[in-house]
Amino acid sequence: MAIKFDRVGKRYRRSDRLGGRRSLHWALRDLSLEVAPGETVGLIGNNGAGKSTALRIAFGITSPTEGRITTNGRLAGVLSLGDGFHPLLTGLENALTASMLSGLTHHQAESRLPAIREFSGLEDAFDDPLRTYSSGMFVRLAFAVAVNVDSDILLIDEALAVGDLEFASRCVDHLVSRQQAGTTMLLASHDLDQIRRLCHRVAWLEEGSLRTIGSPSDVTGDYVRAMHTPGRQSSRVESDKIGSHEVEFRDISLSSRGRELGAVLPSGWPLTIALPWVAHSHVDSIVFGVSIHDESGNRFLDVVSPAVAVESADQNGVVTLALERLDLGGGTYHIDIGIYDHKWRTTYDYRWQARWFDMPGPRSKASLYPPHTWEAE
Amino acid sequence: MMATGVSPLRLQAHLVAREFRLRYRRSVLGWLWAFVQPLTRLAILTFVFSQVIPLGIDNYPVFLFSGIVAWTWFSNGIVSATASPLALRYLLFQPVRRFIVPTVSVASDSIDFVLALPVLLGFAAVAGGRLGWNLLFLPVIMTVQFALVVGLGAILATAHVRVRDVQRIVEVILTLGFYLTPVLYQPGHLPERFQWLADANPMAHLIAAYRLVIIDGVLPDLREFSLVALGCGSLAVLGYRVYARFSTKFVDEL
Repeated sequence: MAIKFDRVGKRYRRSDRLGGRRSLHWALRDLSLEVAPGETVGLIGNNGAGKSTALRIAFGITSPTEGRITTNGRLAGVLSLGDGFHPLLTGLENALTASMLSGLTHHQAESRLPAIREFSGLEDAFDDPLRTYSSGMFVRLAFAVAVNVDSDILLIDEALAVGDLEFASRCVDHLVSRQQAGTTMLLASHDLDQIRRLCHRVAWLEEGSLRTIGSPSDVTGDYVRAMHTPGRQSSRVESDKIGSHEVEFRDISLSSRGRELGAVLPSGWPLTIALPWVAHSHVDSIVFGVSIHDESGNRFLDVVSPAVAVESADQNGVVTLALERLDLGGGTYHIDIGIYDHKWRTTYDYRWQARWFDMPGPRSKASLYPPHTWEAE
Repeated sequence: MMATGVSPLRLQAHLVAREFRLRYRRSVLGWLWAFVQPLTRLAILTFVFSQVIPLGIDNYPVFLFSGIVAWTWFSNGIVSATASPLALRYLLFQPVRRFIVPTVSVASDSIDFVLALPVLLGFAAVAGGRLGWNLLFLPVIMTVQFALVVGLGAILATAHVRVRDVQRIVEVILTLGFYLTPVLYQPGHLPERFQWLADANPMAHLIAAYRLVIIDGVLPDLREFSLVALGCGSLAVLGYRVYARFSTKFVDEL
């Protein structure tokens, strides 16, 4: 086995402050999971389900409270962004050291630097100290190092969601080629599209325990269905959040034909999505992204707004996306919303499944199901 | 735990060089600052204890300088090793042996010592010290001191991660230690009933050994020195054990 979790548990102590109340909390409990050499296993689950903890334990940066973890082969990972780097050193110096820490000799590490620079797309910023980096730039550097050091095992925690979309898709392509080369991977992600595309098997963690493990389509399908049992959903934004939060959504509201939308939108009706936002600091121009997907993660819509200038901190605004009509077949659909830097360098706020709605009507095997009539003469 | 292609020593050397350069980055005088602290201390203490309150020690500047250089390494090494899990935090998030953290920290402080050594030997030569084959014993004393600093530093680092007062306490104790260790006087100056202070203090033995080798041109009493080496070696092993035991959870507490 390349990675073997044997009844692994991790307990954290939460202490409020010195002398305050202390409580114990199991972040992970009784996890048994084996990843075969060359296999890719995905970890899904809500925030706090234990995905990051499992990856940290596999990477060896923290030890399990109970159980055993065994890994076979050289490790590289993109976890806890920026923690593995030195803030005062440049991207290049950090890349050199990180490559050596992952087990390359000095000579090998130096020979990888051009490839790392190229992959990261950081260009001149590669020679700047890391304290000047945004979270998106950290991901680029961490990822570029991790995939260029020829490790046997790659551990990736949510990194593909923080970066910009162009970079994320380049990473996914690269991961596919690494799979073909036989690299073992364990990756956690909220992006079920990516999970389905990359993984051989998927493990669903819930409150620190393994709920199910199986084929990507089965497990992600079950997961998505479980996420929308009525009652869990409210009209407010409270879904899984990712991002640096310098700019945030305040709310999301859906309306159609002048009325606020309940849970049902008939096929062919217009849909207006209003997104009030607030900037907490003065950032470069931003863009808004909205996508709509079904329960299995198939995407039907993915649109991006023009750039919106942010003139000052504490600026408020509302962007509105008006869809003239939405011609989808019957089913449940989810809306993901995101605020990004206009050059896609940073994800400020990304909310996965911020809202959902039901479209009544027959389930269609095809994507489009516009209102239509038949006539026979 | 980790299979690596790079030799641990090579990795260590890379990290030490990086730490050292980082310390003097964007400074005009750069590593010359390594001399400023010991030399100013030397100047003022030489003035006080040879002009104001003469102690009557031969070759006092060389005597004092050898003590100050060794003590500075000890003291800076202990302070930086104690803080090393925080200062070198990023290493704890990488798949390497965690013990590399205090060792890298102490090793980068020992560069100051190595830089000061030629100056010290130059002083000794001018003052009529007998430099010869006996100098080959210097690396032995340095190794023992390195083990002492890493061992003690690793234990203090473990404690510091838990309770962040440790570094402050260490700084206070080191200030006292400078005067309680025979750095600026000879062990013989201590009254009989305080003699144990020097006997129980490994740094007192090491400083005495440096002085015998550099100033008097003789080797220390090897039986006594082996005992000191054994003590410092055991401390290093203990420090390694304690650190290895608790450092697996450092990341959770940083």
